[in-house]
Amino acid sequence: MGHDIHIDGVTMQFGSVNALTDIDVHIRAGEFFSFLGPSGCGKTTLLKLISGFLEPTRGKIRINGRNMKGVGPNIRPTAMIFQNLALFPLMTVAENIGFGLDVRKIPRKEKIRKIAHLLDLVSLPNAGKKSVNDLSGGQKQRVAIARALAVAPSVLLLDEPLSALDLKLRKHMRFELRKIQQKTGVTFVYITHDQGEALTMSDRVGVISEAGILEQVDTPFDLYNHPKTGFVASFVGENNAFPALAAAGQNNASMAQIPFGTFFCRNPMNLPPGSSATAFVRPETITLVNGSSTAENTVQCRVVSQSFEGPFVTMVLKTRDNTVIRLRKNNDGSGPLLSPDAQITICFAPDSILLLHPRGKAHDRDY
Amino acid sequence: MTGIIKQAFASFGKTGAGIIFLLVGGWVIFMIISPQLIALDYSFRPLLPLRDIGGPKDAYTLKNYITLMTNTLHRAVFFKTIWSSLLVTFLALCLCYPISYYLAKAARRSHVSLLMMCIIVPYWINELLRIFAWQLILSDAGILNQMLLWLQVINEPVNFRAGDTAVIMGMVYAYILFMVFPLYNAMESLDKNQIDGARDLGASWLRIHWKIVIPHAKPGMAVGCIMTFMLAAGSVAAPQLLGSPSSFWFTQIIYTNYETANWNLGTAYAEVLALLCLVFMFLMLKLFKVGLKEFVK
Amino acid sequence: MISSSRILGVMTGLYLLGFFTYLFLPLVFMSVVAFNQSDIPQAVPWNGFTFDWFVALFHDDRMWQAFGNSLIVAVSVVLISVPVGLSAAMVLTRLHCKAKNLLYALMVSPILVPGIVLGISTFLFWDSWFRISGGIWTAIMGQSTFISAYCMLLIMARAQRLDRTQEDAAFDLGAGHNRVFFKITLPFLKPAIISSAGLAFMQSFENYNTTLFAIGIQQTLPIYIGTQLRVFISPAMNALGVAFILVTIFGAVMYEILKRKERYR
Repeated sequence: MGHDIHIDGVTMQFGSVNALTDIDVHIRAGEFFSFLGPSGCGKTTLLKLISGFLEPTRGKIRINGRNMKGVGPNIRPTAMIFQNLALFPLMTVAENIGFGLDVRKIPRKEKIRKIAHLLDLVSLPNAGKKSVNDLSGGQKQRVAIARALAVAPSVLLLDEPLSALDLKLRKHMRFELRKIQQKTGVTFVYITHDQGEALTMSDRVGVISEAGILEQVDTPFDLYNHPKTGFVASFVGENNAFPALAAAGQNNASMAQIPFGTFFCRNPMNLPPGSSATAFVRPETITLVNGSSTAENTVQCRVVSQSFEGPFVTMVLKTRDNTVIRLRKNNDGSGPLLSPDAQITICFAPDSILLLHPRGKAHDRDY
Repeated sequence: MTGIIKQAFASFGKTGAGIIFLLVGGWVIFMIISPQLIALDYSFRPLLPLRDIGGPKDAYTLKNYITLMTNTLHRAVFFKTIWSSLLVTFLALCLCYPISYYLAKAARRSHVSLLMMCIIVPYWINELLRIFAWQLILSDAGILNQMLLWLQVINEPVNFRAGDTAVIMGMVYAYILFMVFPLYNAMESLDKNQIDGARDLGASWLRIHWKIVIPHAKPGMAVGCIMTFMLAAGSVAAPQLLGSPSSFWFTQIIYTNYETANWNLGTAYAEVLALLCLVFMFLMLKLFKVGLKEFVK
Repeated sequence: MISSSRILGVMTGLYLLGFFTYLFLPLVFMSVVAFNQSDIPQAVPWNGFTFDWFVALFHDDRMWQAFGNSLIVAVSVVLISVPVGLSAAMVLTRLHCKAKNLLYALMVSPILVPGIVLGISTFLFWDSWFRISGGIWTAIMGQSTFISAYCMLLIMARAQRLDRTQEDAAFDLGAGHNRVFFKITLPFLKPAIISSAGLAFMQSFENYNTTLFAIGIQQTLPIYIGTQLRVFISPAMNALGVAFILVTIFGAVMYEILKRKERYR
C-alpha cells in the first residue's frame, strides 16, 4: 500500500539560484498526485528530492512519517520512472523487471511468479523473453512501470513518462496508468507540463510556477474552476485576462472595473475596492446575446476572426476600446458562422469573472 | 579535495572509490610522476664515480644540457633528428590523407571494414620485422638493387642506405597507422551532404578539400602529426636497422650513453627529446586550434 | 569521350593499388626470404626452397625464452593497464573538479612522450627507490605507464556515451554501488574493455623502445629480434616474421568470424 509524503518547507538552491522555494505539501497515501508546471519550473528537481537523488538545501521530506534526510535512493521506499524510461538495453524484459527483485534476493521461483504477475498487470503477458530494443514506445512504457512496481514501492515517482509517445497512445496510457494506480494502491507522484494529463489522471494537482513556487494544491475541478492565483488562472486552461480595479457595487457586491466597463465578479481574495487586480474570464463561460442589449454584464464587440474546431468554435472579438476577448462556443450544429466584422453582444455571467491579484504568489511575498 | 572524495563516494561507493583512487593514484604517482622526477634529478647531476655520489661534488648542474649544445656531433644529430622527423610527419600526412578520405567518405561501407583490416593487419607484425623488410629491399644485395642491375639500369649497386633516405622511408612505412586512424576518425564525422552541397554549387575538388574537408579533419591531422612526429623522433629500431653510420639518430646517442651507464647525460638527452615532442605537440595544437581532448576518439 | 568522374575513378583505383602494394610488398619479400636456402637473408638469388629456417627457429631456445618473457609481460600489462585505464576513465568521466584538465593532461602525457623516455625513467626509478634493477618487472611497469593511457582513452570514449539515467534507475531500484557497476556500467563498457585488453596485449607484445631501456639484460621477443637483426643476421628471423603473419591472418579471420556470429545472434 502507498505511503504519504510530507514535504515541509523544502527549498532547493543550485549555486545562488533558487530552483524551488519553500514547498509545503502533504501528499496523501494512495493518492494520484501531479505536479504541474511549465518546463524549467523545478518539478523534476522536486522529484529527485523525493527519490533521494538530491538533498534539499532547506526543509525536510518525510515518507510515512520518517525523515528521509541522508537516506539514499536505493533505500527509500520510492521507485522512479524516468523521462527516458532508462530501461536496461542489454537485458531482456524479464531481466529488467527482475533487477530490483535480484537486489532484494527474492528466491527464483517467487521472482518468476512476480514477473509474470507484473507483466499481466501492465498487459504484456509473454513478453518476458523479448529484448527491450524490440519493443514499441508504449510497450517500453509498460515495462518501465512493471520494473518500478516490482520492488513494491509505496511511492511511485513518474517524470513525464508519456512525453515521448504519440497523442493517441498518450491518451490511452493515461487511462492505463490510472487503472494501475487504483489496482495497486501505490501513491503516485506524477510530474508533467501537460495539463490535460494532470487534470484527467490526478486526485489532486499542485501547480508550480516558473519561479519554483507551489502556487496551489487542489483537485482538478477546483484548480480549474477556483484558481487562487493569477498564475494558476492563466496557466491552467485558457483564460481571458484583463487589467482591472476592484470596486464595490450596491449591497457591497463585488465589482470589477475593466477597460470596457464595470462588471459583477467573484472576489475570492477579498481585494479591497480600488486595488489593482486582474480579471479572468474563461472563453467558454462567455455567452452570445441575441440582438443588442444593454443588460448588466454585457458588452458590444466586433468579430475579428473565428476558428472552427469541430466540437466548438473559438472567436476572437474586439471591444470598442480594442480589448481582445476570446470566446468559445459549443458547436450545436445550428446556423452558419458569423460573418467577420459582425457586431455582437456578449454576456459575462456574474460568477464567471474572477478577480485575482495580478501576479502569482511569488510576488505577493515581496510586498 | 574533500569535494572530490564526496563525489567519488556518491558515484562509486566507499569500496569502489577506494579501489579507483588506489589504482589511479598508483599509476599517476609511481608510474608517471615519480619516474620523471627521478630522471630529471639524474639529468641535473654530473656523472661521478660511485664514491663521489652523495659527496660535495654531487651538486645540481646544467652541465649535461650544455653538452648537447657544445658537442658538435650531438648538436648536429639533434637538429637532424628534428628535421628528419618533420619530414617523416609531412610525408606520412601526404600519403595517408587520400586513403583516409577514401575510407571515410568515398568507399562503400561494405569495403571499409575489409580495407581497414588490411591496414591494421600489417601492424600486428612486429615493428622490427616490418622495418627489417625494408632492409631486404634497400640493402646493397637487396631486391631493389638486384632488380635495377638485372634491368641494366645501373651497373653496380646503389647505396640507398647512405644518408637518411632509408631511415625516413622505413619510418613513414612503420607509422602509417598512427596517421590513418586519427585522420579517418575525424573525416568520418563529416556530413557528406556538405561535400555534395559544395560540389552542387560548383566547387572544385581542390576547393572542397581546402574549405570543407581539411578544416573538419583538423583535429585528426593534429593528433596524427603529433603521434607520428613523436614516434619518429623517438624511434630506436628504424635507425638501428636501416641507418648507416652517417645517419645517426638522436635516440642512438641516448642508447649509447645508456649502454655505457652514463645515466646523467642519457636522461638529460631523453628529457630534451621529451620536451621536443611536447613543444611540437603544443605548436600543432595551436596551429590547428584544437585541444588535448581530441585524443579521446 | 572519357568523363572526369571516370578519370577520378581510375586514379583512385591506381592510388589504392599503389598504397596497398606499398603496404604489403615488403611483407611479401620478407616472407619469400624465409623460404630461400641462402645463408644470408635475401630473396634473390633464389637458392632453392627450404623449411630449414623454420626448423632453426623452432630449436632456438633463446627465442622461446624471450617469447615466454613476452607472454608474461604482456599478460601482466593487460592485468594492470585495463583496471587502471578503467579507473582513470571513471574518474575523468564521473568526477568534476577544477584540476580535471590538468589531471587529464598528466594522464595522456605517457603516450605523448617517446617510449625511450619512459623506459629510462622507469628503470632509474625502480633502481633508486626500491633497489629493483632492470628486468621483467620494470618492463611491465614501463609499458603499463603508457598502455594504461591507451586503455583509458578507449574506455573513456565509450563511457561518455553511457546513458547515466540507467545507473540512476538501477540505484533507485535498490542496487548498491557495486551492483550498479557490475550489472549496468561494466556490461555497457564491455566492448571497450575487451578491445582495450586486446590493444594492451598487442602493444606490450610489440613494444621495443620502452622495453629496451627498462628491461636491463633480460629479453622479450622484440628485444631478441632486435639483437638478432643487428648482430646475427639470419633468415630465421624472416621465418619468425612469417609466423607472425600467419598468426595475424588467423587472428583477423577469427575476429571476422566472431563478429559475423555476433551479428547473426
